[in-house]
Amino acid sequence: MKLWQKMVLSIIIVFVLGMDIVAYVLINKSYALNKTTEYSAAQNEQFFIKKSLSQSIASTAGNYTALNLDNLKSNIIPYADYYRNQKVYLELYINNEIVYSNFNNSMNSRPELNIGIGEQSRIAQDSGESRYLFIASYLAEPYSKLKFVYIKDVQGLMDYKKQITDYFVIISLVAALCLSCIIILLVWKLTRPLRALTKATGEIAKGHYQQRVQINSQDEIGEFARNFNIMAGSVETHVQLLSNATAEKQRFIDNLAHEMRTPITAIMGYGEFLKYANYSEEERIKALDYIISQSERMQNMSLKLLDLAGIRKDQICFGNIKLDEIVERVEATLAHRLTENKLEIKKILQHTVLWADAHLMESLLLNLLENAIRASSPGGSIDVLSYVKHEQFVLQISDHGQGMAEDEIQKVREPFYRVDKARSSQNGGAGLGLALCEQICLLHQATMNISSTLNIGTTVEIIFYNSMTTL
Amino acid sequence: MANILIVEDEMAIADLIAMNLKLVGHATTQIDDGNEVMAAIQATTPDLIILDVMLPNKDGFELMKEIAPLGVPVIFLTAKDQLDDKIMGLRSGADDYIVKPFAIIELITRIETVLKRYQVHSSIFRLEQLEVRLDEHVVLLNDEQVDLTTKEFSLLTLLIANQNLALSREKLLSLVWGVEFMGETRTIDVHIQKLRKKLSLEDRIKTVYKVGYRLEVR
Repeated sequence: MKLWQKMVLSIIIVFVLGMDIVAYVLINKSYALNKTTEYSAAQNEQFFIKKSLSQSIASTAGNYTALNLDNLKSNIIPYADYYRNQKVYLELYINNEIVYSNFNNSMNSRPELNIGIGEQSRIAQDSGESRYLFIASYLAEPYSKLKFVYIKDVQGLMDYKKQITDYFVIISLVAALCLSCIIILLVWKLTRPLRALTKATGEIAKGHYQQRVQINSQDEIGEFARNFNIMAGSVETHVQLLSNATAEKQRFIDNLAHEMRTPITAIMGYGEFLKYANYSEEERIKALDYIISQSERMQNMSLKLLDLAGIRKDQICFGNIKLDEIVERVEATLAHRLTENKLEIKKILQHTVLWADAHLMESLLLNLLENAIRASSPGGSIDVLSYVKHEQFVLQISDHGQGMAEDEIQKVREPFYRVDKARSSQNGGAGLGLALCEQICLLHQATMNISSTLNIGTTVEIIFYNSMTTL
Repeated sequence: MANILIVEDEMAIADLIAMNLKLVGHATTQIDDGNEVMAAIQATTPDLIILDVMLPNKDGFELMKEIAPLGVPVIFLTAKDQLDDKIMGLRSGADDYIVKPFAIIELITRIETVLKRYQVHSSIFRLEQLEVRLDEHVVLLNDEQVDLTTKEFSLLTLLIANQNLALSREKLLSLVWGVEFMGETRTIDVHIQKLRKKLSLEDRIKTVYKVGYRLEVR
C-alpha cells in the first residue's frame, strides 16, 4: 500500500471513529437531559392532576358522604378524556382494586403499583411498540386509599433519539465521503514532492545524473529535496570527473598508440629496407641513422611516460631545495645542446629556497628549458627568473624564439601535442613535456601560465601557492 | 617510371617512402605542409600522390576535396586505422588507403596496382641488351625474341616491379603461383635459374642470402 493511501485511510478511520464517539456521547447526553425534563414535567403534571382530582373528589365527597366507584369514575373521566389527546392515560385504584383505567395496553407486570402510602414510584416500561412512563402515588388524606397512576407515552423521546441517531449516521457517512475526497486531494498534493523525488531518484539510478527535483516548498520534504539536489549535483560532478578522467586516459592511450606508429613504421621500414634493398652506402647510413633516431624517440617517449606514471603523491619527497643549484644542474645537462644552438641562459634568481621535490623540480626545469631551446633560434638567450610576488614564489622561463599562435597555446598542454612536429620529433621531443610539467605543478599546488606571441617568444610562469618557506 | 608526390610531415616516413620508390625506379617529390600541396601538384604534375591524413595547416581529407577534380590518383597513408576513417578516405575519392605501420612490398604493390589502373605504368623495361614489353608479353634479348613460359614471364614482371628489392621465395611463390600453392620453394629456384640463363641475367638476378632473389638494376 502506498504512503498516501495509508495516510488517507488512517485519517478517515480516526475521523469517523472520533466523530462517532462524540456523536454517541452527545446524543446520549441530549437524550438524558430530555428525559429528565420530560420526566419531571410528567411528575409535575401527575401532581397537579392528582391534586385537582383530590379537590374534585373532595367537592363530590361533600355532597356524598361515601365514596363509591361511580362517583370516583365520574370524577376522573373528564381528566382522562382531556389528557388522552396528549397521550397521557390515567388510572385510579381503591384498595388495589381498579376503579378506572383508560390505558388499554396489557402489561406483564406493573411494578410501579407496589408502593406504600406516602410513597411514589416512577417507572418506564415498554409495551408493544411504545414506551410508557408510569408514575403512581396515593392521594393525600383523607383519600389515601386511592392510588392514582399517571401513564405517559414517552415513545417520542425514543423516536427523537432514533431519528437523531439515523440522521447522524447519514451525516457521518456524507461527511466521511466528502472528507475522503478532500483528504485524498490534500494528501495527494502533499505527497507530490515525494513522488517527484521517487521519479528523480529513479532517473538518477538509470544514469541520468543531470536530473533534479523541482520542489520549492519550505517544509521537511522541501528541505529533503534541496539536500537531494545538492547530493545529485555532487554525484553528477563526481561522475563527470570520473568519466572525464576515463575519457582523458582513453585519449592519452589513443594518442600514445598513434604516436608510436610513426617511429615503429620508420624502424620497421628501414629495417626491411636494409634487409631487402639493393642500397648504396649513403642509403645504408641514412637508414641506420633513422633507425637510431626513431628508437631514441621511442625511448624518450617511454622515459617520459614512466615519469608521468611515476609521479604519484606517495613518492614525492618534499624538502627545502635550492633553486640555483637545480638550475645549474639542468644547465649542465643541457650544456651540449645550448652550445650547439649558441644559446645562453640568463638567470635572475631573487629567491632561491622553496619547499618542493628536488627531482621533480629538476624535471620541470629540464622540460621547460628543452622547450625553450627548441623554440629559440641560434644566438638567442633564455631567461630564468625567480621572485616573490604577493607572498608567492614565482618561477618564470622566457624565450625569445618563434612563439605560438593563440590556438596553439590552448593545445600545448595536451599530451603528444607538438608545436613544430617535424622539427621537434627530430630533436627527440615526444610531446609529453608540458603534460609532465603540469602534473608536477599539480603536485606542488602550483599553476602554470603560458603566454606567447608569434615570433616574439614564449613565457611560462609557474606560481607556487604553497611552497614559501620561512628560511 | 612514374612521378610520385609524397605528402608526409614525418621526415623519417617521407624519406623511407622516397628511398623505396627510388629503388624501384620512380621519381619522387616530398612535401611536409598541407598548404604547399596544391602548388607542388602544379609544379611537378605527379602521376600519383601519397597523402598523409594528419598534416600541419590542412589535413588530407580537406586536401582530397581539392585534388579530386584534378584526376590525379591518391593513396592515403595514415596512422588512423579506424574503419570510419578508411571509409571516409575512400569515399572522398582516394584510390587506396594504407595504414601505418606498413610493409614496403605492400606499399609498392599497391602503388603499382593504382598506376596500372591509370595506365601511367610504363610498358617497356630496358636493361642493357634486354627489352621487356610488359603489355605485349614480349621479351627481346639483343633484338631477338626469347620464349618464356607464362610463369617465367610473371616472375620476371614481379622482379621488374620490385627491382632492387629482394623478394622472398615464399612471396614469389604466392604471387606467381597463387597463395594456395603448397609446392616446394625449390620450384622458384628452378624458374629463377631458367630466367637467368634465357635472358643472361646471371649478374643481375642476385641470390640474397637467407632472403630470396633480387633484380639489381643499379
